[in-house]
Amino acid sequence: MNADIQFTLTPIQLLLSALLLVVAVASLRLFRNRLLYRLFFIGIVFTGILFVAVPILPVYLAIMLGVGRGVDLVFYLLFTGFLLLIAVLYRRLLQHDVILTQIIRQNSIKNCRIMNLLEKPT
Amino acid sequence: MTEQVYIVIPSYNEGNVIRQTINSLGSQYHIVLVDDASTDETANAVRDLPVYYLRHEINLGQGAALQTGMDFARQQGADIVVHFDADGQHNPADIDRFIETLRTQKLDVVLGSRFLRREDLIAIPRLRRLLLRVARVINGLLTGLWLSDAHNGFRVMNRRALNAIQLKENRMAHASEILMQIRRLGLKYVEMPTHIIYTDYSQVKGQRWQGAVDILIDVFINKYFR
Repeated sequence: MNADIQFTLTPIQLLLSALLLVVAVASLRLFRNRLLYRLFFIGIVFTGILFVAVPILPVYLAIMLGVGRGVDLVFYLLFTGFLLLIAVLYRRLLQHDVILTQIIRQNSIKNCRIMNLLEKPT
Repeated sequence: MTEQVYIVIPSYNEGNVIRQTINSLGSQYHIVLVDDASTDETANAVRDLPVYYLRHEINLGQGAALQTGMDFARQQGADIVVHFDADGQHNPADIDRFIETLRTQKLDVVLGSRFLRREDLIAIPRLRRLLLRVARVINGLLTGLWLSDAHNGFRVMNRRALNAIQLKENRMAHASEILMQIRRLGLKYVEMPTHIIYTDYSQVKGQRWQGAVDILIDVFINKYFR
């Protein structure tokens, strides 16, 4: 198995690895104060670089895990990650929704206009 | 001491009918109009009427507007709160009848139902009646509260319920959320017959079946994923 693994990077592997590194740096900047998100993205980028640098690795992993081809393994991982990301983002969206609602509600109560209340019973 | 009754009216672009709806309520109640970021002339339409006018800067939905009105009423010291639709579908004469039942039976919530009297039932358009029957079953399964009418916007509640109920569902699924909370909080409730007036206007403005599906999804998400 070890004999098949090459560590010499071709130009396309270098380019893809560089792109992934850019994504890693961008995600580090993007997720300020969010250690969990940062670790998650770094993990994805690191796995991506590893798979690009050693293309046979996903094949071996796929065979070991019994999921067919290497590309299938990558697809399953990406699909799961995608769903996880949607769930996390949706949860965040709901949290923002709650905050926005509270702010708008407090403002509307604070700025309540009393129309012609002269006719209102006491 | 006289009980302070607050009528909460959530409103979105009901400028054409809101004046008539508020006038129909007479002058014995405190009226809280929650304008959910209407883009029409709602504010001008009620300028000279005896109402508390609250406005959401962004359209949040009927559930959010009701909760805003309830929060305001609580702060004002309301003893009883009534949920009343802005489009004039509800019958103002039902208010006192419901409040009387709330008082005499020492209940927390009185819920309106269109399915308890034949004359109310036949007034419901056929397709809507079918949708409501399906919604009743799904609502019962999700909330555990088996009512005859799952989505009736006419409700009366006392101070205890006002303090306990907190709507998180901003849009139309609040109707199911209220039922869930009534059950979870152990509030005492009863259903009473109420007549809904279906005008051409209210039917155009009312929910369509796509809206009902949306509500079901919202209820499901609210129950299991919040």
